[in-house]
Amino acid sequence: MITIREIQEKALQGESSFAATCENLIQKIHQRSKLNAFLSVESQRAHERAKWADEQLSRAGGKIPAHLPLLGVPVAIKDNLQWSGSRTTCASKMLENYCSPFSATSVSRLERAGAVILGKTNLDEFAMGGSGEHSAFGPALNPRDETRVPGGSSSGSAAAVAAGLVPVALGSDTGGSIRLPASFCGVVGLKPTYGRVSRHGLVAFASSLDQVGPLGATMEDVSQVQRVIEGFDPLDSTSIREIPPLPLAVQVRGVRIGVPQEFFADDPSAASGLQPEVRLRVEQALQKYESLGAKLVPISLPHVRHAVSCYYLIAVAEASSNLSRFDGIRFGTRGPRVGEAKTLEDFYCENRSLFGKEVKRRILLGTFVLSAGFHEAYYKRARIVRELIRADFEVAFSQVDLIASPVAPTTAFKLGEQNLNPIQMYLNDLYTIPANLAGLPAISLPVGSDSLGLPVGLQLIGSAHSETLLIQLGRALEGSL
Amino acid sequence: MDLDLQKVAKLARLRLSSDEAIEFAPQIESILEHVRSIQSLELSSVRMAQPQSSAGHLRADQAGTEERVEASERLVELSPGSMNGYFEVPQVVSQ
Repeated sequence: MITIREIQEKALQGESSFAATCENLIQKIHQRSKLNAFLSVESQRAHERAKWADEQLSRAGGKIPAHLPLLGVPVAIKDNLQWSGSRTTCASKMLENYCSPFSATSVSRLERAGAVILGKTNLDEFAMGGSGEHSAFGPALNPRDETRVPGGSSSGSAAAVAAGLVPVALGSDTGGSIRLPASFCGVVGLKPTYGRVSRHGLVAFASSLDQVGPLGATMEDVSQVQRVIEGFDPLDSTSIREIPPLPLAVQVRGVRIGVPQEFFADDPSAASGLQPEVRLRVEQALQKYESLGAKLVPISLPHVRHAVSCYYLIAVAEASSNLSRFDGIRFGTRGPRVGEAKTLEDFYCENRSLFGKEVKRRILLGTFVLSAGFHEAYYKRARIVRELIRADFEVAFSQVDLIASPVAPTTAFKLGEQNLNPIQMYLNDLYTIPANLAGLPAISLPVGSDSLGLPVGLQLIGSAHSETLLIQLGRALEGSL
Repeated sequence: MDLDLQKVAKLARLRLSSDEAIEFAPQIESILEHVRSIQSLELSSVRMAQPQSSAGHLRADQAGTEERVEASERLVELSPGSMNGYFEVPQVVSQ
């Protein structure tokens, strides 16, 4: 893997210009095309931008100017974030030829900070999936073992960082879509507090849960990108106007880490088949924190066992509503037999036949739970359960500073292994979903590997706007395991 | 069971092939079976909180910047069918 600091230092010392680094990485992306991490690579645009970065560097007298902290840094963007002038496919046939007329706020902030965008990365179609296999353009592969999934839905972003094709990438996280692939690929992934990063220009999946965030090789890099992309944006009505200031330094000594019994239960049904080796690595990481002076506190989050059910009702309901805009009139592509449509309904149905199976499954489920006669029993109840889960966290954070858990019950699984069973797939998100339901920040950090050499991830969940604490705690563990 | 898949598909403006219907029906049934666990919870005493982001805000109703107006013009041009700045659709009105 490569880091922001390495790239910028090489340029500062005249060892490798930004243009040369950019060229090398694009070559590497082509060499590793089998990974299918990228859906589009904008070589020409990236090259020109990297040359611009070199000029800025020499104009600034060989220093990184303070207003361009990411000067010359190659980045990749998940292909559900708009980047003006490039295709944004959401890994769907529906948007195969859709070209963005504007940039997402997070993307334009990266560019304003001097970053060089190399291209757009693969994902599960419309960010719906936990393995990366639900891409209409074929799955991305896990660089640690190409017979395995990289995790999803930000599959290409995690694979690109893990393969050293970029130091950092943007992803989006609705139920674990940054943290799960980060864990499976052995990189760092941060899901920020809801409202901290603008969602403007992120193609909506479930608006009350979606959040844009960074994936990277190190804590420092993830933290640097987070600082650039966060902040108020009038174009997102849920963007937080005044982000509370973060403490500058936090010591591990004295930090209280909550260990929810529900996530480590011996009852296998309660912990959804937590693999013993995953459990071991996570417990070793917690022991390490203890040896650094942190205090482990057993806690309970009594309603999290309903989190997966609650999430799959709310997320699909919002998705069915958000995806109704894809009717083939304003965006993307029309169905192959659209000329034969006799009614408006035929016309819509023909165009919407371009959605893949997982997307159709979720739209159907969402339409059902919002339909007359069922809305109260499903969607409305789920919204109440969401409040209970949120309240569980409030109680917990009156006793502890952050909460630790595995990111996923298993390490990366084989391609095709879980394809046929949606429920098994959904249960992979057991540990990551609660933070989305409660709008809390959470980080996934690598804490060693299993006996097959596959990475294991530790998740730290913080109270709202505690990103610095999560990053500092992650840093304390970095490289020590 | 209360799920009428074809009716739901019609509401969702999705046309299911018979293969898809055969595949989806039991999957959606089993997902519903799983999520039904929340129906056993006693919820009558739970007070619904305000929407989680207290920062919800609206913008003034003003015309966009030139850049955004250009973007919306480009958006129309990029659509699968457009003519003179309008979206173009085939005639689908039936008698």
